[in-house]
Amino acid sequence: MAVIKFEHVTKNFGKITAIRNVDLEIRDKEFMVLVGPSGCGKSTLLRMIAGLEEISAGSLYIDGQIVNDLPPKDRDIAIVFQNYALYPHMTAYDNLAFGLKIRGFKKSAIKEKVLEAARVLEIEPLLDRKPKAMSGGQRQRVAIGRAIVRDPKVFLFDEPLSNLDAKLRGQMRLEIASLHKKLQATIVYVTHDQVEAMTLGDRIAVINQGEIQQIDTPQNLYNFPKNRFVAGFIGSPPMNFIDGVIRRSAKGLFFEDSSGALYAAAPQALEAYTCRNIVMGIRPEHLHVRPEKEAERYASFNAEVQLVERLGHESFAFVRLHGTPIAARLAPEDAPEANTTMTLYAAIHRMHFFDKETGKVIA
Amino acid sequence: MFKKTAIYLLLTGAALSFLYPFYWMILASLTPEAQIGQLGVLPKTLTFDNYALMVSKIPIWRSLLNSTFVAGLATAGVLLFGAMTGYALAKLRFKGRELLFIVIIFTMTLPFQITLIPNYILMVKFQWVDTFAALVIPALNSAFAILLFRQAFKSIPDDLIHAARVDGCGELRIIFQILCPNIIPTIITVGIITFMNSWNDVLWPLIVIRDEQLMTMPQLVTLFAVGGRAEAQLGVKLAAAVLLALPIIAAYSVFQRYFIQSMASTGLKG
Ligand SMILES: Nc1ncnc2c1ncn2[C@@H]1O[C@H](COP(=O)(O)OP(=O)(O)O)[C@@H](O)[C@H]1O
Ligand SMILES: [Mg+2]
Repeated sequence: MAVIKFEHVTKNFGKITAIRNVDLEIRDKEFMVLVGPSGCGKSTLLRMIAGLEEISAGSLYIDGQIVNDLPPKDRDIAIVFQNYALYPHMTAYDNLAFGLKIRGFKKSAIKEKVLEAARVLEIEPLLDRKPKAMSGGQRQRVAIGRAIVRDPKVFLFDEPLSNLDAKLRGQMRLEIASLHKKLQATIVYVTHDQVEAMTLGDRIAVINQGEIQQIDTPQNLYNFPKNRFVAGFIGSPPMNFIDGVIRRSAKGLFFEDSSGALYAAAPQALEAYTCRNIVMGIRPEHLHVRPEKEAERYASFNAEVQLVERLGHESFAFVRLHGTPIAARLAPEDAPEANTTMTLYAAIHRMHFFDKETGKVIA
Repeated sequence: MFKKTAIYLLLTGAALSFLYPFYWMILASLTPEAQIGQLGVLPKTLTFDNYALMVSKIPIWRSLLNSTFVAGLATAGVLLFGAMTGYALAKLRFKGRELLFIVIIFTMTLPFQITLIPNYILMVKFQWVDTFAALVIPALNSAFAILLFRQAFKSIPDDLIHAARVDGCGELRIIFQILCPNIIPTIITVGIITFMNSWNDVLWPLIVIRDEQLMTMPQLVTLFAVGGRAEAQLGVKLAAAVLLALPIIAAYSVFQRYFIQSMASTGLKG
């Protein structure tokens, strides 16, 4: 059992507020991902769970008990750091054994646990090496080994894969996912990489400037972003944002972009925004070179093609609509030539509308 | 090729000019008093008479023991408390940390003549005059050691300490079991410099110690050499000087590898 709950938690470093009034509940055995740009406070949140960072205001609960003042060693958590933080003067074996030794386990019990963890992570051949004599990927495994050997109820990961090359990162991602199934523990995983966030998380908390923007499942974050920040952060290439106005006609409300080149029927919910500036968002994958489905409605517009990226299985067209940059994800055979004009069809029911000032989603 | 040879010749010459006085001192201490005046590069007659005479006149072995004891304790103290202070200044967050550090550095800039009298008065008030306490206790920490330890600890990433905390370490274990093994060159530098400073110190012992049985070796040798008891015999004085220099030379030759390495990395000289 391990439920972690932040209640109005704030963290100040002198005059800087790194975490602002965070409410977050992490369920038992959940894989919770904290994602956000560098410097948004992810590591600080994680270190607060570990007890490595004092909490300036608010309460942190683990299993219903307030732990604001509980030292790290009494929290039954383990943490894997971005730079591994292995003890440089100890062998891999001693790195794994150290925490157990301090907790007073018997030598034979320590050996059994270390060897078991080493077997799970396939690091047995490394056990008598020091960190200096290991590759980045090997150090990463040892660091994970040091966490699982104590069998804690909560695992914390702070950008554990960010120092690995792309191939190894993909492989370790799968391993961490299967580790979660095997360990049946609560995991809080920090990353700035949205692919890691989307693939690993049961739920994701998107953070920006010390505040939680939205907490939801990966699919819901993608489908129903609550604000412009989340909409722009989840998805790659990111969602396109187009400035415009809501207008009323005989047939109902419609959106007109600021250049007057794009018209799209708008939902009735935007009534209150009639004649006001708003921002429309549409993802690159919801732009097509022709209407995709009979039953759906599309808004078509012409745009100048600036650049085309061909990835083999798909291609990205980077176009401009009167100065506004727009990316479209297209099938390889639909890729246009650069420096031409093309017509794009935007799926109307895939459009998101945001308040221009607050960035909040309004329809 | 020619250039290289020239450089080596020059360096050899420089090295010899530093070594020659030591060589002469050792040689002269082994030469009968009457022959010291005509001493050349090679010895003529070797004798231990000078040493025997010195040992009979002053408690030199006792002072060697005293010096070892005092310098040893001071070094242990500086390593222990210097590491702890340096750690706090480098890694713990508390109000006034930087100010405290500046004050500590400031004490390094004071010439010791300024603090000599106040320190002596303190010793008198504590009734530590003529006890080892006066030699050892004020030497148990040093601004210089704190500075070096702080720099060394600052170069270690915070996450290593975080990992140790999560593993269950307290602060002392973090300092001595996790961090210190990773700053061995600094420890050796601080250790040697502290030991040498303590070993070579004459003025402070002269002020606080009068009992011959408690004197450190440099103090005893100095008093012996300038105090007239050597009866103006050069050989005996030199014999005492050789004994005085030997431990430092021995320590240096054992640790010089670390010493140079750490001098290069900290940019500091003793
Ligand atoms: N020890 C510290 N002292 C002062 N400011 C800090 C400290 N640790 C973090 N911060 C600040 O808090 C904010 C969040 O940092 P962090 O949690 O490390 O971000 P992230 O992990 O999301 O990149 C940053 O603005 C950072 O400068
Ligand atoms: Mg971070």
